[in-house]
Amino acid sequence: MKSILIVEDSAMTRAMIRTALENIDDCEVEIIEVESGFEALRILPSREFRLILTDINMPDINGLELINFVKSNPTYRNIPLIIVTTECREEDRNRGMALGAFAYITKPFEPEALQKLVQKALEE
Amino acid sequence: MSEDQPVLGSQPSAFFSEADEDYEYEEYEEEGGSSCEKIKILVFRIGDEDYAVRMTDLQEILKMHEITTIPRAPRHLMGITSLRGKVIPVIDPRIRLKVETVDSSEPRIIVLSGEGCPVGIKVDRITGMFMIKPEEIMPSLNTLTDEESRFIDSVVRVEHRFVSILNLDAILEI
Amino acid sequence: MSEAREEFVSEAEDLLRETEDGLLDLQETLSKGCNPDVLNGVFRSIHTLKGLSGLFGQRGILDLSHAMETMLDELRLGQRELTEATIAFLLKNLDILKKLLGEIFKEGKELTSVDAALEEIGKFRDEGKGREKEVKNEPGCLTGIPEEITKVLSEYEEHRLRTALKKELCLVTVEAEFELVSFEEDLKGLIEKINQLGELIATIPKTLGVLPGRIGFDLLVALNTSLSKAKEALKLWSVNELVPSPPEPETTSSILPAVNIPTKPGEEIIQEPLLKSGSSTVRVDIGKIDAILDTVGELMLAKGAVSRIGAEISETFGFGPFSVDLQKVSRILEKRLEELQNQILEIRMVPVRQVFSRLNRVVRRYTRDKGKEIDLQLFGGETEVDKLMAEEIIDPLMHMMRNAIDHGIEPAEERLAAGKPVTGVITLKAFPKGNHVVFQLTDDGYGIQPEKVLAKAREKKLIAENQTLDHDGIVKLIFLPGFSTASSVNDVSGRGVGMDVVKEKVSSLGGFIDVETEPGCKTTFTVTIPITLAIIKAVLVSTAGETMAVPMASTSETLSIEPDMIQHIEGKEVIELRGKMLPIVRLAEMFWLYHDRPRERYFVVVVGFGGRRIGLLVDSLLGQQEIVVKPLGERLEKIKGISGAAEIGKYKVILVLDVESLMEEAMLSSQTIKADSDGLGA
Repeated sequence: MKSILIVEDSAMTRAMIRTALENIDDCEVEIIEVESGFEALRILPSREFRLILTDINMPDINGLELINFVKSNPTYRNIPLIIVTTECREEDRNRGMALGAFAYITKPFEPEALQKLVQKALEE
Repeated sequence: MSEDQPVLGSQPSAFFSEADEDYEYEEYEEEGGSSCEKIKILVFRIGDEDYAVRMTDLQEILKMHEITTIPRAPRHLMGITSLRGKVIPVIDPRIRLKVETVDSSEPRIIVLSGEGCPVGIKVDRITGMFMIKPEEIMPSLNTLTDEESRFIDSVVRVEHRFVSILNLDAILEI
Repeated sequence: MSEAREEFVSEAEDLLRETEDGLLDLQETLSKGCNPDVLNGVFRSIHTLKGLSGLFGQRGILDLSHAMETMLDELRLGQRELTEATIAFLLKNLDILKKLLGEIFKEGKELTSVDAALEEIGKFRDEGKGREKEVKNEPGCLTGIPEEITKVLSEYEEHRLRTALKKELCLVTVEAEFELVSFEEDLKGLIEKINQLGELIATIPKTLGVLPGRIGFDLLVALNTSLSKAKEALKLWSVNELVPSPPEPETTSSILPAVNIPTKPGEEIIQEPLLKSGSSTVRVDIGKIDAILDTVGELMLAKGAVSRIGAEISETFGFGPFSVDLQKVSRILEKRLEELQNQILEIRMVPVRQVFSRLNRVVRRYTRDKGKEIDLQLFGGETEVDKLMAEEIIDPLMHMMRNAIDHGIEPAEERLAAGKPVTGVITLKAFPKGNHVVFQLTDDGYGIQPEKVLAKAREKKLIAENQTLDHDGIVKLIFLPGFSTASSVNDVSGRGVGMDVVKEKVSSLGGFIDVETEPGCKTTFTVTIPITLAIIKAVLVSTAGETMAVPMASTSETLSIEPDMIQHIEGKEVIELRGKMLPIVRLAEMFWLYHDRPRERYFVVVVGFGGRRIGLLVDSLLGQQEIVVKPLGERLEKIKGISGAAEIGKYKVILVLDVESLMEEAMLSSQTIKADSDGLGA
């Protein structure tokens, strides 16, 4: 079973992402949701994640800090990250990509688009 | 649970308590056709007269609870009782309907989902549930005085007896 | 309503509330500079709302929150100046968002068009364009900051960093390391300390050089104290200076209005939660908690049955090992159930700050409309009260606030003439007192003029022409129904607008209200309500065969008396209690209950407080018990003298007396008797 981590402080957005992920054909995934960067930091060592979807704007640490944390840690650096953010945060998105994120998707998103991205990331 | 204890409706899906099994609860199949839309009514006895309410207004039927009277309340308000922890008022319809009790060996409280909160009315005996056709419903008798007719919505014939369908808004008013 | 929609509305409501609180906070503290944390919080709320409404397909809210977000983004990135007008404009748009959300809640869809609002926002932004404060990405500004820090900063964090550099603040990193399992709590503690010293710009987790099972952070901080002070305060951690501040640190703090806004004494300190501890909280429908409480109530009844059976077994078969065990178990059951009940009640508790912030907003608007300058001071926001109580008490408090603004505080010219400061002060204090919460509302206005109250009461024939009352008695006349008519605003004695309504509401919550006044100086209303509606201690009494409960909170003592101890004075029955007269009321008579025969002994439950006490005469006392009070429901709410019902023992429902209204009734009837006899005499 593949574990995917969703880091997002809006419950509604998390639910939307979860629904999209659960509807990916032929792909059994375990979806872990957390609502802050801190929780993400804590849950990271607990399983082998295959993918992380993260927001940028969060109350404790920002998504960039999380991406950097993952990418600079030998244990986690191979986990692909997808940035889920709103279209107006272009600058932050670019910084995230520069830090090594796999892709980004802007809210609101089409479930199919997200599904495609996730599938691609999992194939990596 | 001993026999004399009130039935606290621990099985909310069933309208009747175990002791009320003799009232057969039958689900009628919806028959096709135009005028076959039937209405389910619950018929009961108050005094020596038959009354009914629509099943859609019925929430549940309780065995007689102990009713706590409320001081200085109007006479038709018997008092209050507890329905699974919720306080509901219980109305004695005999005062409004001007009937006297003849046989009340099997009194029940029928709980009706009135506007906003449920209200119980005390009846002397449950007769049973019947299906009627909308066209069988007749207006109530004009011989009744205004005051009495206020509480009767209409009349229907069930098994050769006339049954008055209660006007719930009026009867449940406190 | 569909579950998804319910979820959406509920989450959006929270966000709007956060936004509103933030904007009001900004409005209040604007004169001292804009608090960046609060502004960022507002931005975040609207940002989240935008994302939420987009996912949920609520076009109107999406477009409007998007436009507001853009504005807020410019504001927080310093590209636009935050002004009073901007905040007012944002509040106005917030109202539209609220309206839309209300429509979704009620009608299932948005009805109002946001086109006009969007256009207005566009215009508003264009007008402000000339005043852009900061050009994006000023080069050369980030010298001295290592790249591994700058590369992970978000645009906003970078902006805060630039601002700090421009102000020549001392920039440091604080290195900290914690156990991974519990780092949030520890880090929260550290961040609280840091907030005292300056602004936390970024929290950067790091992996390198950290032992397994632990986690390290670099916290980027702009100090507004000296480096040595910061090092002293944070001596457990290592503090590294990145950019030194120029000398003369003493003046630094005074030219830094933006950070750590000093709060006026007495002003509610609203801590902006840097660490949203959302991780460990859930939102629950209050109805669900009520359902659990009901179940516990039923468990209590079942437990009663268990102990009764235990007692019967030992009575019938004597004390055997089984019956002893059964009793032991039933005692444990009882204790655990009580714990459970208390825990559930605790879940329902909310800080009254929630009430305050809602009052604050309305008061501010109202004050603006009335053109009066009022300083509203709120104390004790952390006091906890049952959620339902909090909801119920808002209206009465609001009513009293409006009265204080309308009739309490004088117009500016009168205040000056009386030698008072122009700005009127209204204080609202909340504090716990035993099982009660006390709200004290004081205004430093006119005070209540006893002569005017008395004249008005006579004019309205609420008291007899020649009836005399002491100062307190006169002032309390404002609570009489019919005393107040919202006559004209300049009618000074019209102070009591709707005070009878307030009193009735408070009393229906099982509370009471009192007033004290110093004419020309101040008026204080004190509202005391139970912390929770649900469970109270009560004295069970029996009269004319009926069992009733008298809340302990309004009972001062119980007495046993013989009939010949009852004396008759002015047509009233009284007994002597420690040298004073105590009027007594026969509960059975008051409730029109049938009394079979005179008894040899009666019991008196003394209720009320201070000088306002009466004795309720009953046949017997059945003891004290904790009861769960249930409301009688809206159909029965008109019935006087009863505040609710409670289940005791075997499915028996008893009535709970509304002591306040009974006392009032008793007093009123004695007043009428007196007034009548006076009338006959004249």
